[in-house]
Amino acid sequence: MELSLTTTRADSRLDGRVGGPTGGRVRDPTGTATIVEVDGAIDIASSPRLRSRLVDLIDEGCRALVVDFTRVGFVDSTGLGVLIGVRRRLRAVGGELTLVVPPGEVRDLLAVTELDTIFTIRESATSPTEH
Amino acid sequence: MASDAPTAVVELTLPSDPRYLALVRVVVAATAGAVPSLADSRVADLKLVATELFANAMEANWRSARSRSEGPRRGGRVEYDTHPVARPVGPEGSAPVVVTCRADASGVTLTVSDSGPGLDADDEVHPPVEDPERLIHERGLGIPLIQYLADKVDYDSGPGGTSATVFVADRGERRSGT
Repeated sequence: MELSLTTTRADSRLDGRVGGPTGGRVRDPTGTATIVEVDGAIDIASSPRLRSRLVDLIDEGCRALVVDFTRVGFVDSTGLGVLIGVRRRLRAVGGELTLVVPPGEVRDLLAVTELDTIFTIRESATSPTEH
Repeated sequence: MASDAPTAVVELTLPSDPRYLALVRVVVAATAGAVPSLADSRVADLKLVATELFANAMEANWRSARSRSEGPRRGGRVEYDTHPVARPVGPEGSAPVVVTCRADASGVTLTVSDSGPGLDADDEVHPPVEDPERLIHERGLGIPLIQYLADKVDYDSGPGGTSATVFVADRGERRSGT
């Protein structure tokens, strides 16, 4: 399955809440969060493309990055590796990664690996952060 | 026991190409469907384990093909950073991966075999899935995940290849943090 990545800068859906519980703490030069909506399965065939897109956005100056997994039904270890790497890169430059992951298989995988205690996660694009 | 008789057996011989991963997931999920009481969460575990095993087997076959064409010194780990956007592609002449999925009343047994160089000592030591080290490295979560999700894991490895057999039992819902 092809992976579809849609990037938007509008943060109206997020109601201005960006990043962690302190909301808005992260200063993004663009003034808004960058939202990447992912559609498809993330495995070794598609994760290089996801990594490339997210790293490019960081290189372009995005500091408040929201990755929306609402339409992702499958993530493997390489997909988790991409998220771990992107989180590290972003934190190194003072940014913050927020994941949108509704309950389901992907959320279960984050729980199993206890990455749900590390990442900032929302259940939906409009819900408040849980961590 | 009569209940141990397989209700479904599927064997696939597939190229060492990540494009076939989605097919592997569809096939193991369909085969798992022969165990009517198997929970959806166990089918999800099986799909993830199958994906990780197939990816490992594929990479092992790539290493062997690379060793044959470039000599053993170049036959090390696959480096993804050299082609960050494109789907990773193995060298010409990589051996196929053989996937066998067998469902019976107790659960699903999955065997994934490669013709790679065999596991080395480093491949046998893996921290648990929640080890803090996982936040340092972007790779290496695959085998810990397999060990966590499968009820039984056996590796039969030698210089001619590795055969990994996992069992995913029909045991109801797994632990979930949600």
